[in-house]
Amino acid sequence: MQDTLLLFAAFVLATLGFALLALSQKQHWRRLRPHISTGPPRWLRPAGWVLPGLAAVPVLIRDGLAFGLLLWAGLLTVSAILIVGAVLVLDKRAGKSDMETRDASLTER
Amino acid sequence: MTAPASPDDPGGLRLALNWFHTWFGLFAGGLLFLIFWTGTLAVFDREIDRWMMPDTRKAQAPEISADKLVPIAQQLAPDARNWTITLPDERIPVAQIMATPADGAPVSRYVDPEKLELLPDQGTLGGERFFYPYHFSLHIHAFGTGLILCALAAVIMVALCISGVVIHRKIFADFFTLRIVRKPQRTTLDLHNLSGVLALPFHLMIAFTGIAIFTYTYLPSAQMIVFASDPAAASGGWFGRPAAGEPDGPLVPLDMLRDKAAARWGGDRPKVLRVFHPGDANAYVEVQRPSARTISYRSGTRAWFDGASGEFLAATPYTGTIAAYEFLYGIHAIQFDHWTLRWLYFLSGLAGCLLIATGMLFWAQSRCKRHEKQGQRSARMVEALCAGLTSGLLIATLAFFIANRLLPLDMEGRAAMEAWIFHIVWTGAALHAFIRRETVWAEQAWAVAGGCLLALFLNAVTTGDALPLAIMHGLWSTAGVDLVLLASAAIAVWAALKLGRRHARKCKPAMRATG
Repeated sequence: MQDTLLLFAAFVLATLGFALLALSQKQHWRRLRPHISTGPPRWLRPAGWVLPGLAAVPVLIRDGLAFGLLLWAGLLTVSAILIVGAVLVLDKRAGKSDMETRDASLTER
Repeated sequence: MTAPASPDDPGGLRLALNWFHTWFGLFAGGLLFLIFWTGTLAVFDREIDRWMMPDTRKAQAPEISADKLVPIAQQLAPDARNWTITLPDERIPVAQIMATPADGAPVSRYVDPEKLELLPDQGTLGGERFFYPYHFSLHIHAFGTGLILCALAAVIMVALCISGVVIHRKIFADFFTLRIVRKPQRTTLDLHNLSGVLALPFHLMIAFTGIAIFTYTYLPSAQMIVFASDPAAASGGWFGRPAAGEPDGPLVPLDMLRDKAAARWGGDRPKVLRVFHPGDANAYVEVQRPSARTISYRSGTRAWFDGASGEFLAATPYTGTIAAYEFLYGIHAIQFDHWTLRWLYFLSGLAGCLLIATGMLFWAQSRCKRHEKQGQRSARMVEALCAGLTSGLLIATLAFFIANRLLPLDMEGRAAMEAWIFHIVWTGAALHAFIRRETVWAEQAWAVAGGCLLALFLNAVTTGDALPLAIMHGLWSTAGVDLVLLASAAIAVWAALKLGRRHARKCKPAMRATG
């Protein structure tokens, strides 16, 4: 039970951190707050960096140093993928019209 | 295309690495995908084994004495040169006896731990003996060719990861961005970047440790340099002694030796024991240090005891060098018990497969219009090759599972037949990709969906452990494989529907354009 809670806590911290990090980027902030003209608050970015780092604490308590660090790295990947999914859903809701314009960077590799 | 001259400015470096990333990625991509796919399956090799070997499915692994297996080993191979006895654990809930007879090939059989009876030969290589060795040797054993190819691919993988990070223009701005827009190559590139960046620690770790594990094979001098600074590690040889030729030697209780070894290493009782010259006066027993509770894979750490007296004979030394090596080995091979990490490795492995496949696909997609104009075929060829390698390999894997459920258990050469079917179906899928270039993705996605459902159905019919029953009876290995098959079928159907719709927008094949 305690193991599950610690894992969950780490997962929540990491996901929340990545959510804030995504919001600290103008294009995602505008999706969520289309009617507010100001940009994303400045605290979002540092908070977005710190929280995924803090997520290491519960897993280190749960699994010790070696297993904990491996688990932390894996958890960060999963939470980041979740946020990619969330951003995708937000983008879909906002419509795709303005996205095509950003396609100019596409070049041949 | 030639490599740009050596870079003088950062822009030049990016250009040079772009060249490397493009062309090494293209030419190593196929091999890398094969290695990543079989490696991802090998994460759950023992669970796949339970699925493919229905007689070895058990809800729980009973705790049994190693000594109860000795009479069974005697019955299996009375005049064997050695027996390897492996006790049941969570992932292999049955005991296993491998015997090397005085003449002839080794025999390996599973033992029912409750009834203490030999189980019939399961007639399959399964996950542990097909996918796992495929991952690092490609089953090409002549002069270690397969192993060296895999190592080379791993070196290229590390370089591809590093060059990929350098040439990625907006690593932070695009960190969470997946654009599903009209241009399919935008989505392909975003998927390539995301699967690479988000799982980058895993990709780097797995490729680096993959190289490190077999260094001694392809770089013997590196081993000598490392071990020269640690003479104890270098001198730690293996114990061995010839048979005395005097039969009827006694054998001490093996459980007592397990206790001794556990006390020596301060941990769990070993589960793998080897009895050399059983029945001889000079018999001795080798025990292997367990790795279930530590990252390190300790398969090389062993101790030897006299078979008649149980007296300690020798042990491999445990030095810093060996500890570091075992750590690197273990972080790659995950022989420890940790289900959360096992699933994370599996998902990260799939991310690696996605990374490689989208990389190759992007090469083809971003060139197909130009190649069509110029009358070149390479973009279409690469796309067909990519389909044959990726969805074709998925279909071959499913064919391997399906063949396992259809071939009769007592068939001569059954295990080899399964491997043949895998390769024949794979070749067939690749040919299909070259013939039906326009619709290959959608068609192969349908084939994957069908294969998953057929495998699921055949497991239910031929073993009686249908998914709901397997869950009810606590057969989690079987249920897990079935659930992954079910999820794969759902994803494949979704992909097939999407691809069918998108097909109209795709680039026409160059063949037709050039007449």
